[in-house]
Parts: sequence; structure tokens; C-alpha cells
Amino acid sequence: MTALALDAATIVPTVRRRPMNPSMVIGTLVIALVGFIAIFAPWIVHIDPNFQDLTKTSVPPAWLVGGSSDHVLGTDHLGRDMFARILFGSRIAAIVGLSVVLIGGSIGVTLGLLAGYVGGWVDDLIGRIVDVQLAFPFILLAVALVAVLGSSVTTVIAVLGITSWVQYVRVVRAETKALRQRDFIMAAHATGATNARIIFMHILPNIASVVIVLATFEVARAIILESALSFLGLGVPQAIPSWGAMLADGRQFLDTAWWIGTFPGLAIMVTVLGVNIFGDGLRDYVDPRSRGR
Amino acid sequence: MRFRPIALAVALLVSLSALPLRAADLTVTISQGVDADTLSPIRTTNTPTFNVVGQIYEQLAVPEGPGNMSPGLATSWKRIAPTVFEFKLRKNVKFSNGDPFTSDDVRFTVEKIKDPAYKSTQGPYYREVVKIETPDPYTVRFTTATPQALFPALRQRSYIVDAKYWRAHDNGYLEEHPIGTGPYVLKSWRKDEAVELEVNPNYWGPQPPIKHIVFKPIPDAASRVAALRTNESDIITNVPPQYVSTLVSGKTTEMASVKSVRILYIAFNTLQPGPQQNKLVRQALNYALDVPSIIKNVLGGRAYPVPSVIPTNFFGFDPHAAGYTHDVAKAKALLAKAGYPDGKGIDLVLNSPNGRYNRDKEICEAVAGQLALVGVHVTVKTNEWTNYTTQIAKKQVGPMYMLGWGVINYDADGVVTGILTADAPNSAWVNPEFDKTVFAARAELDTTKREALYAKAQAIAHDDAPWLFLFQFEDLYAMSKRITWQPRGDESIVAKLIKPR
Amino acid sequence: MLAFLVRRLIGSIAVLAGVAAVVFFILHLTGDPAAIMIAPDATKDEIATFRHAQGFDRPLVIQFASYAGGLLHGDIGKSLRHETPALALVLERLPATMELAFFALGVMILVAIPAGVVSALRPNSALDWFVRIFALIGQSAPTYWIGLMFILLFGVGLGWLPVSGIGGLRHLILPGLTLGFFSAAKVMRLTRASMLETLGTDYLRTAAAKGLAPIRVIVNHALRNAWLPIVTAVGIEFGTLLSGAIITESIFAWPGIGRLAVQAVADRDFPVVEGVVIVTATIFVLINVLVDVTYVALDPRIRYE
Repeated sequence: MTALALDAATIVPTVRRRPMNPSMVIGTLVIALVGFIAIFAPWIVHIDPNFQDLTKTSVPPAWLVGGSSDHVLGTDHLGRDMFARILFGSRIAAIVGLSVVLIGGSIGVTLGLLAGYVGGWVDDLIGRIVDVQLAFPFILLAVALVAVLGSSVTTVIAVLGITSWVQYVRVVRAETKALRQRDFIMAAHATGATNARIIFMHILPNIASVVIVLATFEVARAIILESALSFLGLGVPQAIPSWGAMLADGRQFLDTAWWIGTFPGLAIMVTVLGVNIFGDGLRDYVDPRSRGR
Repeated sequence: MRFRPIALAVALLVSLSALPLRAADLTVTISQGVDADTLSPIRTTNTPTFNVVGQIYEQLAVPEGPGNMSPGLATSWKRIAPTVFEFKLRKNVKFSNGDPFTSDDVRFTVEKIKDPAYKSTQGPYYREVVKIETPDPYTVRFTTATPQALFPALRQRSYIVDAKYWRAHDNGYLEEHPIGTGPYVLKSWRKDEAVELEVNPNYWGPQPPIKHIVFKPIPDAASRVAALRTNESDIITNVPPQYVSTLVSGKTTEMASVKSVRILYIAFNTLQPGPQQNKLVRQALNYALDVPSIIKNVLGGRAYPVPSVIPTNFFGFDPHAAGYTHDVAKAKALLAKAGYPDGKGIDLVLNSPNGRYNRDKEICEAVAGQLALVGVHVTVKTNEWTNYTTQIAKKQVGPMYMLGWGVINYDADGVVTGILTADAPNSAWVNPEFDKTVFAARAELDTTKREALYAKAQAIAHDDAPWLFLFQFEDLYAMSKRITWQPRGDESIVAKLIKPR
Repeated sequence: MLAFLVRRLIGSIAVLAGVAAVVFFILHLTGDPAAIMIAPDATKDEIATFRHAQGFDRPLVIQFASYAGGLLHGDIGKSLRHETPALALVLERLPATMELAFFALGVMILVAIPAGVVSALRPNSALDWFVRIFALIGQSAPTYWIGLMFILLFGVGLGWLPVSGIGGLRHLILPGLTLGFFSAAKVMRLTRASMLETLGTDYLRTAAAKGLAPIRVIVNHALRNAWLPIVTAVGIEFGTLLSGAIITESIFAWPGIGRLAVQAVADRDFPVVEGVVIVTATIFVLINVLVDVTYVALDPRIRYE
């Protein structure tokens, strides 16, 4: 019996299986680490990140003069343990990063595909909505939403999600438009493929690589913007530790207690790096055309 | 050869005379957080704007302390009847355009402020004035509707404008072209960038030592500090306490501080249902607080505890007034008595502004932490400022909220009628006994009796505890070592007193 | 092409109208300026009188009608804070922000794109690693942090550059670099990714095999194909720069529209916010049309019906 070898290569014509590359592995590890910390923080460290000890404010990290082993990374200006706050802060980073990419990405890619593929008045309409959205000062949107919804994690996600989707639309639209006119798409039409099939089988995989790189930017941008919102006083409530808010607070202590801002900054940097490396690796995995770096 | 000693002497004289000349050409740059809204001194009520226009215009008199005013455009003032106040004006004063200063200018100014078409936000400053008379060019009489302890025009910052000049120009022009009697005149104003002032050569008083003043607003505190360190600014305001050590040890910088007229407090919204409506709970929470610890650890020691509702350096402050000490046992006992043993059943939200006052949200966090130690659960919620103040005025913020309040005339009346009486827009407390006492004090013309009334009011407030009593700020300023200057508790900057070192 | 442009024009006017309407309603959602502006101890009656004088107590529809009518004459009313025409205020500040934005744009085009190209050509070289690390830092540090670092290093520490205010070129450098940092990092990375992709295509290897000189291969073929997402990104980033200069302008005390917008939103100075939004929207619309025209000029395969 000759059984048809049903492997991924036959079912999904334009995606080829490749071995996992080192970037994907490292990236995945970092993201998994952050995710692990976010979920298991209370079990890793038994200190309450919100507990203040006003007699122990701005204690330096353990390896410096004045530090103690009670507070490995020192304490902040209200006497809260830095290590605990960094660990618990990963939760906001994870939630914000994920939600914004999912919300912004799905809306943005869908609308971009529509605009680029269908063209005509649909394209015009979507383009105009994007323009109206982009014309609004971010801060006005943020202040309005906070005034109406109150300041909470949901509000922050809403604000960041609204400003994120537009980043995808233009690029996806342009790439879709360009692809649509290409020969192999014309050929697919000629053989009677439905629009849906063309979009999913041919266009999506070809824009995947750019969308992925864009998505990794958006995760980074979401985490950074969350910090900017905290800097402007519109971020997550005080009771929830977030790297962005800690970074904003730490700015004024650069001379006197540098660890308050530096450690959250490092945490953000490592996370962003991990996401980017993952993105690079994923792009290589998915994209048949990129060979070698 | 004979010319040699003469040449030497001349050279010496020239070089000596060059020294004070350089000092006089000094330009002093002052950086506040915001630019002036306008250069009309009678339209808005913001301190930063007053600080700019206050160099160009002058007031009738300036408060220096409780019951102590220094003469400005008025040389004396007295009450000639319970509701009539007479001011004698300074003679031979001219506006910088040559117009003579007379009582007509005072009347014009007050009428303009009260004119709704001009849209001044200073209207309330003169709310009690019903008649203004100018019997001669150097006398002004104000008549109030009811007897007042405090004099109109001295209760708040009130600058006098040139009536003739104002009648000749439209409002838009007057926003940007100020003419006053003060020690400086406007050279240029580039909005949000810089206001440049230079000395008024025809000023009636002594010529100021500094000839050029620039107000350059820098919104961000860290950037203000940096600008001082790079010598781009010479005086900066609102310095957060955490920069003190850097500035004190700086080679070119030094700090100056002054007890502020502004107090910070946490109000209970007793108009909303909840445990805060129970007096025992309010007292208990006051005993649970350790205010000195907060001052020391969050503000670096830069504040003064206030036992009751009146700032310690104000007229009406009772030095024997009881305050709340830090007594955890007593707090717990009171909570139990109120029906909340170990704080069970109390879950409060503490509303805080976000960066409006020095370390405001950190102070709220610290308060929440201290209240947690007696078992009371408090969540801190930060608010955007404009929303916050609007909602407070509608009494919709609660059950606890933090606010600051400053009164520039060092008199208790401005404090109690602004934030405590039942009809005050920012009050969320009702106590008829308190209201009766302070309204009587407002109309009481005998100072001793008035003081006694305020002492009584403070005792009532201590017992009924409408607030968590906190403190009076110490305002921190920093300046360049090339000048000497003393800050004022009412947050005003008097540029004519800045001297080169 | 002409029909397309006309359609775009009509669409743009619709956008501006939509923006103008939406901003009006969003603002009124956030509160009422009268209570905020008046003296803190004003009574309810005094606030009401003031509100009436400003016209805020009229029904919303009437206020909108008067706003819309004014717009058609190019008049958005007077700033509540300054009592001078709001549109003039905004246009006064616009050049300062444009200066910053163009500086940042220059950095993007003259530094970021070439860096991305070269980095793609020499993968895993020292330069490539430098570019990738720089892009990483650019993406993970918020603008206010970068601004502070620059101020402390180049201003306070080394004393090379001024840290606040507007002036000549020297005053432009630190805020311009701060503003452009994030965008430059993004463009650098996107250029590199896009170039790498193009370099890997068979089409390009054919061109190289045909014996074309490497520079020609790069410019004529690789860049030509990789440009699409790059131009799009630069177009978006420039627009983002204009409206996103808020934090940079606050930190460097730069008198631009970003700072004006922050202050106006905090003051609920409705006419000024409306002015900023409408002016910014107009610029966006123009940039969009420009970007679309660039597409057609650079890639004849994109046709417009």
C-alpha cells in the first residue's frame, strides 16, 4: 500500500518545516521564564511586594555597603522589597504585552487584509478611520478613557490596544496590495481558488514575517507606553507593581538610590530582548525565503 | 614717566568700576513649572502667573505674617465703620507709561474684576464688596455687605492696573501688553518659552539690584534641577526632597527652604455612606497615624505637623490646641467601641492626586500602610488632577481624599471657609456648631474675641475629626550661588529683592 | 491617478470633519472647564456665573453648532487660558515641533536606514551586533528615561549641550535625539529585516549571478524591493513623532504643540485642544497622500483603480 505521506508540507503548501533555530529556542526560554515568574511569583518569594517599612526606605542591594540579605535587591523609597516587586511586576508586563498584541494585532491585520485585498471604498473607509485614529493625541485619548473608565489595568490595556492596531493596518495593507498583483496570485485566481483560500494560503504566510516583526515591536512598545502612562499619572493603580511604573518612579532617585529605577529597566530590557529574539527566530522558521543571516 | 602713576590710578579706577557694572548686568533666570497664563494681573488665580505679573504690577499692601502687612500702593488703611474700609494711597507714583496712579485706578480694577463680561476668575476675591468710593485722588473707600474682620483688597493678591490705559485698549491687547507701577517692565514674552523683564527706571521705590529677569518655565522637576546645575536657571521652584543632597553638595548650587502657608490633609467624605461617617472611626484612624514618621521617612523631614485645622503660623492658631498622638492601642480601642474590632468590616479607598504635591501618592501609600497596622484595609487610588478637583467640588470623591490648601494672608478665615464650612465648595463635612463659630469669627472685629472663637473652632474640629490631620509643607527652592535671595512662605517671588553675591 | 487623488481629497475632508466632531464630543465628555479655572474658594453661584459668561451652560447641540459654524470660517474660538485666538496659538507653536520632528526624521533617514542596510549585508559582523544592540536599547527604554540620560550625560556631566529651551542647533540636538531614538531603532530593525528578506530571494541571487556589480544589486534591486515596509514605517513614524513629542517637549521645556496639548488637556482648554487635533490631523492627511504617491512612483506594480 502506498499511503500518501500526509505531512505538513502537503497540507500547507507555502510553509515549509524547518528545524527550530537557536534564536527561537533562546527567545522561547526567556518568554517562558517571564511567564513562569508571572504565574509562580508568590511561591518564589514570600515577601509581600506592597508591604512598606518606612524605617527601611531606600536600602541598597545586598552586595553594597548598607545592604542586607533581607532585601537582596534593596528597597524602594517606601521601604518595599525590590526583588519581590520585580517578580510581581512581570505579571503586568505579561498581561499588557499579550493583550495588546492579541487585540491590536487581530484587529489591525484583519482590517489591513480587507483594505489591501478588497480595495475600493473599503480601502478608503479603513484608511480614513486609521487617519482619524492617528490624528488624536495619545494623551487626550488616555485622559478621556481614564476620566470615563477610571484608572485600572483594563483601562491601560484599552488605551494601548486602541493605539496599537493602526500600526499593523498600513503595513499589512501595503503588502497585501503588492502581493495581490503578483503572478502567482493571478494564477491562483485562474485556477478557481476562492478569495478566502487565497488570503489564508498565499497572502497571510507571505506577510507573516513582517507582521511578526511588527508584533514584537508592539509588545515592546506596549510595555514602554505603559511606563509612559505611569509617568503621566495615567497608569495602573498604585497597588499593582509594574515595571513601567517603577521605572517612572525611579527616575527621580537616579542620584541617590539608582537601584529603584535600574532593576525594573533591566527587567524590561531582558523581556523585550527575549521577545525580539523569539520574533526573529519565528520569522526564520515560518518564512521560506529567508536563508542564512 | 610722570603719567605712569596717573595711568595706573586710572586703570585701577576703571577696573574697579567695571566690577559693579558686571554685577548689575546680571540676568537672573527663574524657572517655575508652568508659564504665565496671561500678563493681565486680574484675570486668573494661578501662583506662577502671579509671580510673573507681580514684578510688573503692585498691590495695595502685602501680607508678611499673621496680622502684619507691608504697605505697597497704599500707605495706610483703617476701618471707619463696621462695614466701611478706607485706604490712603501713595502719592507721586506713576505707571511705567507716565500715567499717574490715583484712586480711580483702584476703583477701575475692582470693578473690572467683578464684571462678568471680563471673565475674571478673581470675582470671588471681592464678593463681599458692594460699593467703592473715591472721595479724592488718594483715598479709596470699600463698603461691604456685612461687617468683616478682614479688609477687602488685602484678603487676596490684588494688583492694580492703569485705568486710562485699559480704557484705551481691548482685552486681547491687554493680555500681552502690561503696564504697571512695579519695579520691572516687560521686554518680551514668547509663550511657553520665556518672559523677559527689565528694570523700570522710573520706579517709585529703590532701584532693584538685578536689571534683567527672565522667567523660563520648565515643566519637569528633574529637568529643572538639571537646568540649575548647568547654570541655565538661577532659581528653581518646587524642588522635590530627594534632590536636596545633590543640590546642597553642588559647587554652584544651594538650597533654601521656608515654612509654607499650604497644608496637606486627608478629608473624610462624611456625606457618603460608610464607616467614615462614624466619629469614633475618624478619631481612631487619626490615632493610628504616625505623622512624624511619614514626615521623616517620606519627606526627608521637610514638613511641620499640624495638630488641627489651622496652620501653625496663622492668626487664629491656638498653640494649646490638642492634636492626635500616635497611639495604636487607643486606635484599636476606639475601633472596637465603634463596632469594628480589629478593623474588620472597614475597607476604604484613599484618593490621591498624582504628583500635584510633593510625594503626594507616596504619602498616601504610607498612610495606607500605617492604617493597615490597626487592621483597617485601605486602597490608594490616584487621580488625574483636573477630574479630581471637579469631582471634589461636586462632593463625589470618597470616602477619603487628599488635598492641599494655601491661604496667602496668614489668616484662619481663608482656611475654614474654603474647605470646612458646610457651604464651602470643597467641604464634605457638616458641623453646624463649627460653622456658627467661624462665621461669628469672620464678622468679629475685636482681635482677642476673634482668637478665642478660632480656638473654639479648632477644638470642635479636633473632636469631630473631619480630616486625617497631616502637616504644613516646607517649600524647597534651589538657587545659584551667584545670587542671594530668600523664598517666601506664600510661594511668591519678589524679584526686586534678589541680590548678586 | 487623477481620479484617485480627487477621491483621496474628498476622503481627507471627510476625515478632518470626523476628527473635528469626535474631538468636540470627547472633550465635553471629560468635564467642564468653568469649575477648574475659577478661584478655588468660589461658591456654586460664582461658578455658575462664570460658566454662563463662557457659554458652557448652553445645550450641547447649540455649542456644537456654534463650534462647527466657527470652523467653517477657520475660527475655533479663543483659548480659555490665554483669552487669545486658539488657532494662532497652535500655529505659533507648530514650527518648534516640526523642527524636532524633522531632526528626528533626518536621523532616521540618514542614520537608521543605512545602518539597517549595512547590517543586513554583513550579518553577524561587529557592526551588525552594534546595530542590533542599539535597536534593542532604543526599543526598551522609554523616552523620558532616555531624555534624562542625555541630560545627565551631555548636559550636567560633560556640559557640552544645553538641557532646556529652544535656541539654535545646539538646543535642538538632545531633544531631537531623544524624540527620534525609539523611531530610529524601529526603522533600523525593520530595514534590516526587510533587506534580509529581499537578499534571500532567488530573484536577487539571479541578479547577482548575472554578474551585476554588488552596489547596483543592492540599490537597484534589493532596496527597491525592500522599500515598501520601510517607507510605510517612516511615514507612520513621522506622524507619530508629531503627536508623540509630548514627553520630549515636557522634559526639555521645548515650546512645541506637544507641550501645548498636555497643558491644554490638563486645563480642559477646549479650543486649544481642538486646534492641536485639527492641525495635527491636517498634517497626517497630507503625509498619507504623500506616502501613497511615493508608493506609486517607486513601484509601478501597485496600481490604483
